[in-house]
Amino acid sequence: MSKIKIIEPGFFSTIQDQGRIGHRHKGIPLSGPMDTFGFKFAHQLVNNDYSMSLIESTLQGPKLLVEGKIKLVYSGALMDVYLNKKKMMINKPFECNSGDIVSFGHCLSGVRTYISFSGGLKTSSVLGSSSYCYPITKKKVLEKGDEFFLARKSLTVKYDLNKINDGYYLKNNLNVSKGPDWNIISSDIKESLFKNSFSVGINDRMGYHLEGNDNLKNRIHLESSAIFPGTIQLTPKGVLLVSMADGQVTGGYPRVLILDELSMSILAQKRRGELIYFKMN
Amino acid sequence: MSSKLSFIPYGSKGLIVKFDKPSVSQIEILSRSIFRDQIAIKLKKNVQDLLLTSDSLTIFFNEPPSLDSIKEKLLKTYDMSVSKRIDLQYKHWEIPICFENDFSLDLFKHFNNDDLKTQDYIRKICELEMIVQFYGFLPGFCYLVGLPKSMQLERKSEPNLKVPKGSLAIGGSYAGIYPQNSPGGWHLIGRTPTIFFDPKRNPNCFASVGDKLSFKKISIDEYNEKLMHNSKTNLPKFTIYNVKD
Repeated sequence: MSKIKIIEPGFFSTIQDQGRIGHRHKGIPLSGPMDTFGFKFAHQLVNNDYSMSLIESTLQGPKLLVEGKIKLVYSGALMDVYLNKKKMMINKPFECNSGDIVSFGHCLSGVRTYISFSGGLKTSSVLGSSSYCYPITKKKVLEKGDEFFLARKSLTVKYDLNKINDGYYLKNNLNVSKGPDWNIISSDIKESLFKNSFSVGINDRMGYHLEGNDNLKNRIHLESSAIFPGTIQLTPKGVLLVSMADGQVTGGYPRVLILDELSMSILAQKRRGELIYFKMN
Repeated sequence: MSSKLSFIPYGSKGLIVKFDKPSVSQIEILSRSIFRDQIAIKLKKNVQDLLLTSDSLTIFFNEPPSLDSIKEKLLKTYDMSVSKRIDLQYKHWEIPICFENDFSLDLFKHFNNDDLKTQDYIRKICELEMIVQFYGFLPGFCYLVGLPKSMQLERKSEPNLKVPKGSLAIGGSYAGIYPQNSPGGWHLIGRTPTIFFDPKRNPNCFASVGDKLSFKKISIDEYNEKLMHNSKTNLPKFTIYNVKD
């Protein structure tokens, strides 16, 4: 059976599938890919089902040793990738054989690269998902020496791949709709959300901070309530908190806006200091 | 009764059912929990998850729902859940807590290093019965209500970067137990060896919404002993009660 071995794990690489659905009421986050668009596209290119597991790498990818015959592709953030000494292109599936080394380097733009293997990786599952989310899963990130067998291809899904959309994440307009607490914020705040740009602040798989201006300061107090990924909360200091894949299931700040799926994918590829704008859907 | 619910859409696949006020009494919490369970059964086909908090139930659908037909179902089910008080059952759990070492350091600091006041607070909290209002924040983190005003502690202005797993903490009117190491802004007052969340245990979280928890003071030796022999399937002691008892 074919397998891959992690020689170098990269900066922050995890296993992801579609996430842990139906466990929010116990406080368990959804998880799954940060950039759903990149995740799906990587799977499409090797005719995988979306339920399969792949590697999400962050800023710098892993180095893999191949055993047996495998076919893989990378999608999402553009990266320097070599099969042995030969440069490999993004969104172009390629085949490898025993002894081959695939080196994923640094992201040239964007943040998150999706590495999908034809057939998917065999991974252990916790509460219906193999997505890493410590401490629900024992592991936080891929480590040197980890090995994954490839699942034997049982089904091939046909996708319409005419819509290749290179650089989808280079846009800086994010589409939003009104959040459930939209009606309790002042009209000044509503206006400020769309008049100015926001700067990407600290961020991880739980969420992104977006820094705006002083007009957004407020004294709104709410009871904690449910939050799902893509929801944007406004803190008293005027910082926007965007809940992402591993985001907490509840929050106590007003939920002012909601990102659509593609905009979440775009944001997941932004780095600290980049500017974004909101556009109401 | 029905006028006590309002409905707020949350994206295309979410609906917030808002109650007129935060739940306070155990009966309110239990009947809202029954409401949640009933809705889960009645809307089963299209429901992905339901999350109850202090003043709302958020329903996550698989596909955008038709709100008009659902609202009627929700109102009817709510009326039924709040009127049906006869069969309300709950468990009362006894949670061992150690207040020694530096486990209650935040409390000690809060009382300006006054040991008498700290001990008095510890004695009082062990006499309380607290109720699980909802789960949120972290996997297995339960929000406990039942803290009298005099014992409530304002959240810290600067959060701790690392609150140890098992910490019993107070944040405003709530008490809670950190099921894992995490940053946190609540005052730490003790520590339990009990495992509050285990992804491999069934159930992952032993206490249900509406259950009671009380705290039993244990020594540092008992704490270490329990921690060492903590088999993950080991649940704390509990008794089953009917609300009418």
